[in-house]
Amino acid sequence: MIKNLNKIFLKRYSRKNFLKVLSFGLISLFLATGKSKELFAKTAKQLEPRKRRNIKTNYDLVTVHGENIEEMTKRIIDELGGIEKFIKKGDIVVVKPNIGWNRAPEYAANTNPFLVAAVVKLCLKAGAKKVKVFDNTCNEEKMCYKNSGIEKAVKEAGGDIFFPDRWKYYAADFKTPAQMQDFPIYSDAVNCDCFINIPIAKTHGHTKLTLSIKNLMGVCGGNRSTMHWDIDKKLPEVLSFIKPDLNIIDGYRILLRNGPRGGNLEDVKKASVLIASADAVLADAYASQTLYNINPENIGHIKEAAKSGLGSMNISKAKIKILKL
Amino acid sequence: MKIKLLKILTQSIFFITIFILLWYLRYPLHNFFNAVIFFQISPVTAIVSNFLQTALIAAAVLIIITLIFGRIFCGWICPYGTVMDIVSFFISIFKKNKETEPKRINFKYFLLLLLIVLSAFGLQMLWLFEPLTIFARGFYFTFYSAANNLSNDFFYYLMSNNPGRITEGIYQISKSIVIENRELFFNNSSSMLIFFILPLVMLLFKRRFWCRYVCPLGSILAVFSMKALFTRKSESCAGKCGQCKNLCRMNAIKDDNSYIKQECILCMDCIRETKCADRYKPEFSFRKPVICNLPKKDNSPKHKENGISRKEFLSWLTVSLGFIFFALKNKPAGKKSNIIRPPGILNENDFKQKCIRCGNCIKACVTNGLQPVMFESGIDGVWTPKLDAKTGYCEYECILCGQVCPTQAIKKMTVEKKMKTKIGVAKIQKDTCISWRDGLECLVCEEHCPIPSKAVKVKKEMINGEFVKVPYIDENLCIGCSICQNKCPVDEKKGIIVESL
Repeated sequence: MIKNLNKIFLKRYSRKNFLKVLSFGLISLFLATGKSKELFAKTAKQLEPRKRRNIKTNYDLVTVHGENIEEMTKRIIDELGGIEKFIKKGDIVVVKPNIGWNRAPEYAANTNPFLVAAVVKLCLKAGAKKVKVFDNTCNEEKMCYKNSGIEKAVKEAGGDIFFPDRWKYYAADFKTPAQMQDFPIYSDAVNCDCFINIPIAKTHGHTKLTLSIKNLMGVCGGNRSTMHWDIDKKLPEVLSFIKPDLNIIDGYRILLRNGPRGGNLEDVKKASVLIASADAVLADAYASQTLYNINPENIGHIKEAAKSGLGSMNISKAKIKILKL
Repeated sequence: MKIKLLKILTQSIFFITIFILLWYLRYPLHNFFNAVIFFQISPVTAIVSNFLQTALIAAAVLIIITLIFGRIFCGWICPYGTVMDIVSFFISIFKKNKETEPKRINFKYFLLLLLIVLSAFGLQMLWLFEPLTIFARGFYFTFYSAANNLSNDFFYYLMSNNPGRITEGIYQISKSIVIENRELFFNNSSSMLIFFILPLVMLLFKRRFWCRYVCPLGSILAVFSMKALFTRKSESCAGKCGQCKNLCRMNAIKDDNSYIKQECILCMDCIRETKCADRYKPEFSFRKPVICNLPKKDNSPKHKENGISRKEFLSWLTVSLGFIFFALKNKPAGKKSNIIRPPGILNENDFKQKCIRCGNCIKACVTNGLQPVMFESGIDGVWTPKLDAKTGYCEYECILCGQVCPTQAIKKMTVEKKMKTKIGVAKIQKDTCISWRDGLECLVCEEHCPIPSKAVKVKKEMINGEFVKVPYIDENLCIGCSICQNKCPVDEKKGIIVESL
């Protein structure tokens, strides 16, 4: 063994070999001294607020009562002015449902998969290049995507559903003083032509209700639990950053108690209604008033969002269309 | 030559199959083709699990194979043996193989007997020497986690700097079917790696050192292979050239060219390279061996060295008796351990007896919440799983750990039963909880609580002169899943801590 080792180490080197060994040594020295870190350094990417298209819908808010979700979705968007109003040919569309929990659809903890599939189909029909569906889940992501039924429904509809990647969370740059400054936000949610927000109506121990504004928490990354501190100020900031083009609140099954995770079938009420609006604050105010009979003035984040001019909370002034199928 | 190629081919096919089985032991679990069957094939699993039915059937298959072919498992199938063969191949470049007359080969039977006696006394140590679990522990907690984390980091750098379309495509494929979309972390994995590396270091002295002297699985199979149908047939050349003897990696061939049948793992080394005349060339077949000119057995001291001498036997016996005495005396009998076990463990002592520390539950855990312990649950609880809220939590509707346990130390349960199984109880820490201490509304624990009617409840309390919503625990409802502790946003000491029952 020693003889063999001698052969390796006492070999006479040619100039070429010497240069090889030298360069190898220099490279490893370079890597070892930490100079390499500068090469591979993570550039802190900044994300600017999303630019929203100026869309004027026929009504401020449309609600549809009915049983067939696919038909209801079609009607509700037609009444607002048609899907072409929101989506141009070749657009990249983000559809953001609530897939937060590992629960079956009948427990009303996640958005109805039929609704997500119907929206994805409509987007593709309107000529969208790509329809991205994702959520930063609270439970294990694989189980949430599978058990909520949304993964299967979106794949069948032809959409693109994926788990969020860690490197696509960029630090948010709000341009104005904000508590959420530099909080990681998923870049796909901002770098898109159209953002469609599809929350489900649920109660929440902390914010009372979780509707379209609270659903935007799913585009945030990092330690999201800290967002709960002073959440009423932070959620409107996220809303001002994302500015969804369209909000469709899933009220087919709603959760009345023990939200947002649910688990009892007795807590689920079949309200059979969809609420759609381009204004997230108005949609939330209307949903809290009609579905839960809570004055939106009493819900911190909705009130705060209306106060900072992100939308109107005044239901009596809004142009509302109520449909029954 | 052909049979040697066949052996290498079979070995690599089995190695790759086992590699894939172990790699894909994770959430979307296949009902039959998962790694559980791989662990149950070892008779050790059947012994440890109090003769569990499926384990018994799998072990019976292996024993029938052994009764026909001999220790073909050790030479052709065992993944740890394959690793050893690869390592010894590289060692053999520097070191020439030279073998002496077989010595102390009976130590492994002695060890097996000792381990079985110990387990009868209630101290399970078989898992420390079982080669399949040694391989699995090294694979899961070092290789798999390192491969997963490194490729995650690699893609992190690659993808955050404007990747091309091909890189993107490779990433999408590997994300969906190869790697996991998370960083894995395992406690105490280095201690497991030591036991994985040590037998490989011993290969510097002897090839297949572990298989010759220690392996308890090998010694079980050796007992069954004594009367195997498949035997080595060779014209006795009285070992003039000594080639076969030096080639044999198990040291099974004696000086006179006869061989010890239970030591042979059918590696086919003696057939491949022997340069002797065709007449003497050994071959393996079902026919009866024709060995003429068998030298007479003599009782010279040289011959006795095949086994163990009286002196050695007595010294081993003293050491092992001392060990039994020490271990049983220090065994914390019925001591309540203050760690949270995964659901499905009914009796702590029974669990320690049955657990073979294969690490299946820890690796399969969807949240990375299960971690191997070191000495927290006593000397007989090394590497058993515990639920660690620092790294993860128990997913409410998940029963994976029971499904992947090969000895059923963690019982298989229905989801309904698991959702009611209590493994701990959460306690609010009023001095650190941000709501109780500072009056800041938070309620993350309440939001995440999976119990349908919420074990973490909310009440209004007067804190710092203001009415604030604060959490409190309904201890009858809480099952101790630890998601509240895991998600608690307080950094230093968590505001809610789950304690064992």
